[in-house]
Amino acid sequence: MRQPMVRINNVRVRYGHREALKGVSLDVHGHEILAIIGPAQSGKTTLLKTINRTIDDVPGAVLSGTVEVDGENVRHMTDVFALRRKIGMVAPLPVGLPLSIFDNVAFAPRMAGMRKRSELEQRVERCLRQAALWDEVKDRLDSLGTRLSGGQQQRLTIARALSHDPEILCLDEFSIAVDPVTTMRIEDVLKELRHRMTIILVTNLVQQARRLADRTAFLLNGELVEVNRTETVFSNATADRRTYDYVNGIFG
Amino acid sequence: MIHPAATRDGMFQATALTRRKARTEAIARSVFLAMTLLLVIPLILIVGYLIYQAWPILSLDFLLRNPRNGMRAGGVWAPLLGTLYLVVLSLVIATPIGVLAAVFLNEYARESWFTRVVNLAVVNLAGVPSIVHALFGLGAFVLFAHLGKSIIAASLTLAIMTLPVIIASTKEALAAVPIAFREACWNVGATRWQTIRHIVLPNSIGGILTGVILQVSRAAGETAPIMFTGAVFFKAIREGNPFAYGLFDQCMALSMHLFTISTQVPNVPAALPYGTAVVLLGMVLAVNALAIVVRVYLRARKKW
Amino acid sequence: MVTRRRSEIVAESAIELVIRLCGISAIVFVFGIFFFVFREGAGFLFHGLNLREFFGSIEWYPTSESHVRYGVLALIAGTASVTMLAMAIAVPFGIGAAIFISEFCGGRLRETVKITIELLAAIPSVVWGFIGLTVMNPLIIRLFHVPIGLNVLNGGLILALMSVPVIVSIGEDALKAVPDSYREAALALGVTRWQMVYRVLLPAAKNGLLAAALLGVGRAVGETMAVLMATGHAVKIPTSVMDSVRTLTATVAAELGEAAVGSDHYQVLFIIGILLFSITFVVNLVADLVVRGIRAR
Repeated sequence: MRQPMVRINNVRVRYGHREALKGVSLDVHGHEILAIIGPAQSGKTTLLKTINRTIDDVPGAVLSGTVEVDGENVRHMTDVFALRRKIGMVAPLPVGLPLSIFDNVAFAPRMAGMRKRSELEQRVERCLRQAALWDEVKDRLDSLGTRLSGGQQQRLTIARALSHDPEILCLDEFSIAVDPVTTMRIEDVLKELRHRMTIILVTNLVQQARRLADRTAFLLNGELVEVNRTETVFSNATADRRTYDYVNGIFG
Repeated sequence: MIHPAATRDGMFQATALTRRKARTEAIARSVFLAMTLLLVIPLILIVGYLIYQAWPILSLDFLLRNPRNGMRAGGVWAPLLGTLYLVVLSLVIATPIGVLAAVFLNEYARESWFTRVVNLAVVNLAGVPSIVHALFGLGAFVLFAHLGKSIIAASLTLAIMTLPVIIASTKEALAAVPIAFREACWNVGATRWQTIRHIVLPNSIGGILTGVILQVSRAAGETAPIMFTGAVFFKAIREGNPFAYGLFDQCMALSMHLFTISTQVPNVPAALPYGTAVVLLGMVLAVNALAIVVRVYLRARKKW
Repeated sequence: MVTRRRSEIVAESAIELVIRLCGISAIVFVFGIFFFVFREGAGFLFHGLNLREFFGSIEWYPTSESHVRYGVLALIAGTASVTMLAMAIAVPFGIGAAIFISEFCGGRLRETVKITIELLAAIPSVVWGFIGLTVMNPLIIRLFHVPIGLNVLNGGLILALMSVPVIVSIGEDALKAVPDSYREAALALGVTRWQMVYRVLLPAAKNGLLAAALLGVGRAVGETMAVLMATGHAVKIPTSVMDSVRTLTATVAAELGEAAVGSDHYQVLFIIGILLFSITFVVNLVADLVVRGIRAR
């Protein structure tokens, strides 16, 4: 069997006295869309942070267990920035950096060392097209990223996440602050991108998981209750009773 | 205040209670307005009086000529130049150290007992009396470092005096940049310094600048810290030469000069000390006005 | 595969090192002040200073040829009297102005008043001293028919004007920190704005207002030039506001120039410096803890 893209092995995370993740083990296969569903405070965001090591910057976070990306233990990597460039991360709230739209998308390549204007222009256009934002902003690439609407800023964030050619794209409840039309457009984007990369989609909209994901994982109170093919998770043959209850709105 | 709807269309008839309340309200407002005015009006009157008394002597000549005749005549060139030297030098020293120290405290240092102690120390240092700064400057720079009474010793003393406030205001400016921006940068693989250099610092420049400008006026106005570390009663220098002082020279200073001619020298014609006071005050108020303008301008140009 | 230039990576490490050094140096300077002031005065403090005389005696004769005495009680009284008078004026007016700015005015007027108070804060202490000398002095002589106008009243008034901006600024912060929901709840019950301020806001903001007053005290105690020029030269415990006094700060400023380096007199002046540092440190510490309490909420 091919090696999984991401292997999470018995990861525990504690913030002070509160245990956010209680021994989660999960594999993410290459080129799949894996959805992670679960109610608030289940540890979904924390799990994503352990993958790209932004958990390092959270004060008071204590971590045990291993996370491997492409076979390499992330804790042992010396260049954490290269790791983060391998992973695209989209946060729940849209964030336009206080730079021009062009500079927003060119930021990551520039920080990584890309200098030639022509290369940057190519990269920016490609990423904005992939994020379904190009047509709306192509005539005003110099205007401030912070002045875009919420839905546009979220697509800008996706363009930024794509700008450093990631192999894995993580989205953390991207549709929370975004209108339904934009949500649909972004879902179409994700359907395109899955051919090129692995996608981990944390979502509070179970129907979104059903629409997009190959496999779905259910996280409850820091524990991985079940991970299965999406059809199974949404059927009445779930491995765990709680999955069925959550998916059908009996609690949440 | 009576609610507008209270009397419009007779919807709510103004009762005796409402009228009485409105009266209390108006009285309260007037009292507080009066208290505020009582603070503000004397200031305006005093400044006006100073300018009035100084008027006969204020001129470009006053600024460009040295004090003469035992400081009973002439202008304020030597003190003015001295003050400029002290201000520029002390800010050149204090600003980079202060800004980078604030960057360290706000962006790099992990929250711990150590950072709390440092923050406490910085805040408390801002409240140290100016005479204690003078004693420190004397003990540390003039004597211990063997710099003697000199412009450099006085500037270092002023730098230490302004340092804590520069650190505090820079920290505030840095903290005003939302953490979401930093997280967005870290998520795409930018290093901490890259994030600071490209996003955090450029967007805190306004607050930093305002803090530094305000310290300019403080450095120009203080007397005690320079009195024993490098400023003197009198020093003869060439008029019109902006490079007249050397780093290890002693110098005259506007603040010290005002003190000297109003308390130490007899028979000074009245307009002279008023003129000195007005020049010093004018300098300080102009710099503060600049800081306010910068602040307003930058608030309008806010990028988020 | 794009990579960063090696020179860029090296430069980044260098600047992060510089940042760390600056952070540490700031800490060093902060504690250095206490160290160096202490150092100059330590000798006499431990070998010769009679602490009971120091704190208990009003006789300050450092330059006497026959009988040198270092009693600072009168100086402490000088500092205390001027500070108390200043606070008696500055605290009510300052808080009144803070209430006015925060609750009773808006828009342009607020901006103008705030700017004026800021400019008040910018006036250098030597200019205030000068004002005390040339404006207040004759005014007091004329109004109260006293021979000298350099006294507690003069110093107190000047200090009050100097401390007001601090009190207004912190006081305003304290009032701003009270959530709007308190105000709205009170007004919804039909009370007037004044009643809302008196019964709801002031009790809610009392910690911050206390801190504002304390910081005002710290400012007043530490002031040097203005009191040097405005309070006169009498080392004695004042019996009325028309008495001239000498504060701790003014004494150091006036006598440091004449004291031979290393002499007993010189060291005692540094010891007074330590005393001043300690007083303002404690006052500011207490105020800061209280203020932090508000900002954290």
